[in-house]
Amino acid sequence: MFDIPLQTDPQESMNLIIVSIVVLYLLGIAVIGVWAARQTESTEDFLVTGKRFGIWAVAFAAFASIMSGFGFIGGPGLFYDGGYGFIWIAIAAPLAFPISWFVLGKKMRLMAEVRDILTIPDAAYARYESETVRLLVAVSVLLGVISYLGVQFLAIAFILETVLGVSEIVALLIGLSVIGIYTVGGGMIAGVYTDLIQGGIMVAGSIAVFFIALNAADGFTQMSQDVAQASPEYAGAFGAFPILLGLSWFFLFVVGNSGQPHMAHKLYMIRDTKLLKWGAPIAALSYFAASLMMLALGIGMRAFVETGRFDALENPDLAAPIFLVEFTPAVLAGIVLAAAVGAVMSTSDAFINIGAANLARDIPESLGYEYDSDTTELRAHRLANVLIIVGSVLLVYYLEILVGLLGVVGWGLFAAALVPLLGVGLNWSGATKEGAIAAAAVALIGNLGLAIAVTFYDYSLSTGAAVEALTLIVATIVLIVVSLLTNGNARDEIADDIKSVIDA
Amino acid sequence: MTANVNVSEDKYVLGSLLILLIMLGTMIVGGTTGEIVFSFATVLFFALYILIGTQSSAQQHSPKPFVGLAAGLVAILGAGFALLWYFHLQNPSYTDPTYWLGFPRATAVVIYLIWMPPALYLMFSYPYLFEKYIWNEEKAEQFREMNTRPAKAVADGGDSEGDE
Repeated sequence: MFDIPLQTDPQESMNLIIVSIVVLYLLGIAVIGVWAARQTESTEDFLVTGKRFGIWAVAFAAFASIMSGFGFIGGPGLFYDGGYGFIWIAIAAPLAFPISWFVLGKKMRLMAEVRDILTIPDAAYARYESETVRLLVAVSVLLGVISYLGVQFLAIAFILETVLGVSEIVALLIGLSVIGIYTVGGGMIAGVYTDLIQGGIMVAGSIAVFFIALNAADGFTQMSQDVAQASPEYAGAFGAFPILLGLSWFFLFVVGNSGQPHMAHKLYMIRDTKLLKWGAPIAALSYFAASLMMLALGIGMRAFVETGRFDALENPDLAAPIFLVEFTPAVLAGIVLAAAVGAVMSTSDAFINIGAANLARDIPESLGYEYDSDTTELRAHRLANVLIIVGSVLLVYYLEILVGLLGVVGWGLFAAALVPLLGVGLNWSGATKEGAIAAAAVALIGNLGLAIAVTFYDYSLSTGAAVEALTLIVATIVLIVVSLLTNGNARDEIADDIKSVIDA
Repeated sequence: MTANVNVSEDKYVLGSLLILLIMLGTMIVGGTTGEIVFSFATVLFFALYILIGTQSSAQQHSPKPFVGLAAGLVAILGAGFALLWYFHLQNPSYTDPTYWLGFPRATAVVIYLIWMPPALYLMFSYPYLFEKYIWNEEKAEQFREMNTRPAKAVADGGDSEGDE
């Protein structure tokens, strides 16, 4: 049993050890960025690492980028806020990774084998031979990237502000400088190497923090009973959330995993298709360890508040930082907070690269522009990385409403656009170009329309179900129905090499 | 306009369409029955999505391992949701609940049955099935022999003009 202090300002408790570990970590990441910049000689190196990595690196990179700041900071906050109801998102990833591997693992890697495919819209174009599909996918991905990056940048500012005790803007500049060094210079090579290190730290740190949190809260039974004091429903299977919200989250986060570009894109990077074999268990078990930490830490903090051992938190996102500084040894707190920074950075670098590829490759090519040399294209990608970083920061601070608007549907925007087109379309030769255009248009318009309705008109489904799950379902229905009624680029009309991937 | 349907090739897609329509209806109608139907429809969709994803491997080898895999997933998750609803509906307000392994019974079912058992089952099925049914040297050789082409190349070697 721990002595539990009654103070809730984490900055007051940040000691030199914690700050030093986080600063050393940031410097280490920057050094990897400089080194990786020297390894990056072509656009293929920059975007898909020249397909050079083994399964540990690719699986950890997939896990780390899906984990994001949401997992380390937002996850415990949501458990704190809504009780066990958030479990429906936390339990999704261990099931989602193997499903993604079964559905897309081999197909995505083989697409990169038969064509010079470097981005997700490249794959959509190759499958449907339609510039309209490519453009719709590129725009969906770009909008999703902007929303995610806005949230990630705010998260990195939040963590560094809390740890270093600097102002939000200084914290943001420190974080962006490090991200800028390694993404602009080293592209995905730097991204995957740092993800490998960050992923390892996240897993080890999560397991340690889980047992510390369980011990501090006197075990699951005591924790559940303490949480139930405020409202018995907090300890219930759906927590304080509507039942259909939890269930539709489960559907959205399991199936939608295969539509996340920062996950699917990693499948291009593996050195050899046969290395895919152990990827699903590595990614899934890593996320399992991290979600155990989210649960014990978020529910543990709620239990402390309900029993009066802690003041109520001003912001649920403080659940993780406060727990770490109050209950874990300084070295471990420093390592886990560095891992939290790493989680945000790994998601950010994936999205910066994907967004830059949209700007520098997908949108120009879908409008008919082609580069005269690879060197020119590589330069354009580096410039696009800078533009994406600067543009996202400006959006966060000057067009906050847009970030908030897109943030409503971030995961859903990717899922509704890519699950039907790639998850279904790379496995079903009956999917047509017309079906893909209709589904991509429904995903884009539907998600933006719902985001506007939710943000400005306080709209929600009367049943409480997640609107993003609704658009995923509707877009998939549209792909199938329109495909059954049309014939463009389906079955025998599919190019031989792409057909060989679908049939593999 | 000719319908683009091949029932034997499209059976899993058609099954998914039916399930998705049911899910859409239950999301809009709601209610306890709607919630229960949605949960089981979700389980069936997971299984069908895997069957869509493994259909090409099943056609080359045998559908049995993949149908068995999907059936196992449905059995584990189906049992989990059946128990979840049974315990949840007995005490939906969770007032003075019976605790199992640290949680009210319905929550314990989510934690101990719905969370990791189906995930462990699927994540280790993948490597188990990998060499025999998913990827082998013969297929690798076939793909190695194919020359990588630019993303825009089409079957006849020409450049695509896009949609038109």
